Amino acid sequence: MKKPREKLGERLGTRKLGTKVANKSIDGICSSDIIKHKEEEDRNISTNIRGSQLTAKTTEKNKEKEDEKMKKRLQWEEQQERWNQALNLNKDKKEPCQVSSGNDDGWSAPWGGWGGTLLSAASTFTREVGRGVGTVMETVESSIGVPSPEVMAEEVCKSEHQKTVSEENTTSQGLEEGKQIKREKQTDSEEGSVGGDRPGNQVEANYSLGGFSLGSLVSGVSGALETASSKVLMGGLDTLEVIGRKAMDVIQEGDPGLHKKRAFLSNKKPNLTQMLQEARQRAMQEEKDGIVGGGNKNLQKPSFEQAWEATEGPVHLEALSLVAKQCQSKKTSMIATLPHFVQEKLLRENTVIKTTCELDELEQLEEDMAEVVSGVVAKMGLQLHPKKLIEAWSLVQEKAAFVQEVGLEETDEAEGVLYSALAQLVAQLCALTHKGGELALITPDTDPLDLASHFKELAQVVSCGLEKVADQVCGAITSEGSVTDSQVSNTITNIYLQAANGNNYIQESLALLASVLQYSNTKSAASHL
Amino acid sequence: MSDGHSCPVLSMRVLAGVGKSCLLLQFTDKRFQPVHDLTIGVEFGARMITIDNKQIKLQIWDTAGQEAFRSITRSYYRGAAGALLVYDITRRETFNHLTQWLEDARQHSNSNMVIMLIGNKSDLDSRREVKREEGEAFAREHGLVFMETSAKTAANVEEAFINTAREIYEKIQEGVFDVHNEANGIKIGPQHSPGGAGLTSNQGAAGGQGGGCC
Repeated sequence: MKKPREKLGERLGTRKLGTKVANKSIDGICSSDIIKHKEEEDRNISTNIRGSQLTAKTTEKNKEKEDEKMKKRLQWEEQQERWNQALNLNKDKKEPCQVSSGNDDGWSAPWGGWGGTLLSAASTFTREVGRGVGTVMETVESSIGVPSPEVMAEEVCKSEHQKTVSEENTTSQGLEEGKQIKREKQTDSEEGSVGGDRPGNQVEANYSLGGFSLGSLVSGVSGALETASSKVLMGGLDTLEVIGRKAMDVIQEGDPGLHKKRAFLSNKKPNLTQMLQEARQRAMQEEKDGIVGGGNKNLQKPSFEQAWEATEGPVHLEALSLVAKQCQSKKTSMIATLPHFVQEKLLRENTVIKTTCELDELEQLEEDMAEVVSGVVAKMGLQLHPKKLIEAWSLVQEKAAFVQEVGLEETDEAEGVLYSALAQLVAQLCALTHKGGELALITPDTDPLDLASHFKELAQVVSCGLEKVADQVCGAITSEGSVTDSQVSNTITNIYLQAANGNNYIQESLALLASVLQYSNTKSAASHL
Repeated sequence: MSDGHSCPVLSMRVLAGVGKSCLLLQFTDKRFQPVHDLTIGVEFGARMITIDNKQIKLQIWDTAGQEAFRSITRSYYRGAAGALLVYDITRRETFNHLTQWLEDARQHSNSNMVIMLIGNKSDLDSRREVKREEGEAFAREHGLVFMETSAKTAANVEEAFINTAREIYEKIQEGVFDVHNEANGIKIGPQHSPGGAGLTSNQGAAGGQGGGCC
């Protein structure tokens, strides 16, 4: 577990934390501290070397800025105090202090108040470390890479002090020059360029002077930082781990091994075997429910739908719908290219086609269906053969007669026979409509409006046939049993309902045909332009 | 349907084109009828087959080969999972038209559609105009499966349809076809016998050329 954390730390630390600390904390260190140090120095040194005027000038200049900075620093101190308490930083904080105070002896001798300055600088750093750790806390990042900006800032400070001191030792003019450079430095560091970017020659020279103490200071600071932030990180990562574990527990709840979720996420392609099994289970469940709910009899109840699926009807309807879809899109794009007056004419005609292809209220079928069908189909002028439709009608009549004979006892079986005959009839009509639609598209000189009314007539006849058969059968059942008998009335209702289902398919086929005829009409209008 | 398949049914649809109605009849009814009416638009045939112990309803759409119906038959590619592209080995022109038909099929169908190239009338070897190697080369070039059949002797007819169905079935297993999208020509529907559930799939066989089949 430790290794990944360290790696994480490395990655995050070098990237994010570095920039954050550099941008925020260093700003503080450089600008405020330099000013502060400067002022302290000024105080110390002014008594010995400089005139009081000069000191007053400098302090005045810096005082305003310093006040602001002091306020900020007070806030930081408070914050840092809190952090220290929270993070047990106190111990770590001592380390850099000791290091710096150790250096004190060596440094203070030649340059007076230097040790104190350094000490305060060091303590400022510890504060900054605290802040740095705060940043770490905020961003849950790691420690490595942090010290370098601090070091950079410190180097800048140190070099500046030294420079100031040495210059002040020589001339007051030199001091003013130094001040100028300092200001430059300040702006530099305030811009976040972490000093050192534009070091003067003198500054570079001073680097070597501070070399030793700097090294130890750096190691102390970075050590402290590392310890502190690693604590924070460990704590933070432990918390994350707990959260993660908890999340996994929740995810795995009711799904041990994550089999379901894994299957859901990784394997989206359907497994046929599995699907078939599921389908079968569903069917079995439905069967069970049927038995529980309505008794075994309901389950076995024949329906028109069931009979319909066994015919070629659905395939014809599907094929017709494919053709209709294609016609629909072709029609739309074709109409767009036509002149406006043609568009208006087409819109009128196509609306007529559409309304024609809607079933009206059912009339009584008076004539012989075979005759009507043959007559209508002949009028269409297409290569259509109504033989199969006529055969289907005779089959329906035959079965209806059979159902009327057997009566109530055998209703279920009789109903099944009746429905499959009716489904055959509707399927044949759909087949004829499908073929008629195809032929209308490829036969030249057909009038789509005429065709629409012929097909509507055909559909109307078949629809009436369904109604008539239902009437006949129900009439026979009623005459045998009592009307008040609930079973009889249920059966009658069901037969009418099932026959009406046939009408739905007839209507559907007509609507699809309408799309085909509309395209055919549009096409011929376009060709006559 | 009343016998109630204990096993769910997978059904497929093949549109057999090139007016190869004889091929379809041989497959569905196991009989040969030398004279056939011209196919108008599309005719349908269906047969139950068994693949991997699963019942599959192979639904075949036999599309008209006539040029006049071409724009209509194009609509039918859309709902197909597979196609048989059939030519007549005794008539070179049917072979020459294959490219056109293949282009149509590829353009208007699902890109995963299984296409099998069939050289029919292999019983009439003496009148052969298209060499077997030519058919093989064409199939190789276009990534099709190739087979020579005879609707008359029933040679390879069963294999042609069933191999196509098997390939579609494998594509379903691989998840290439979304069985919930009926535009792929495959559907899992309720089987109307009690206790059964059906998986239906359509396979289209588009056909090559030619009026007189067989």
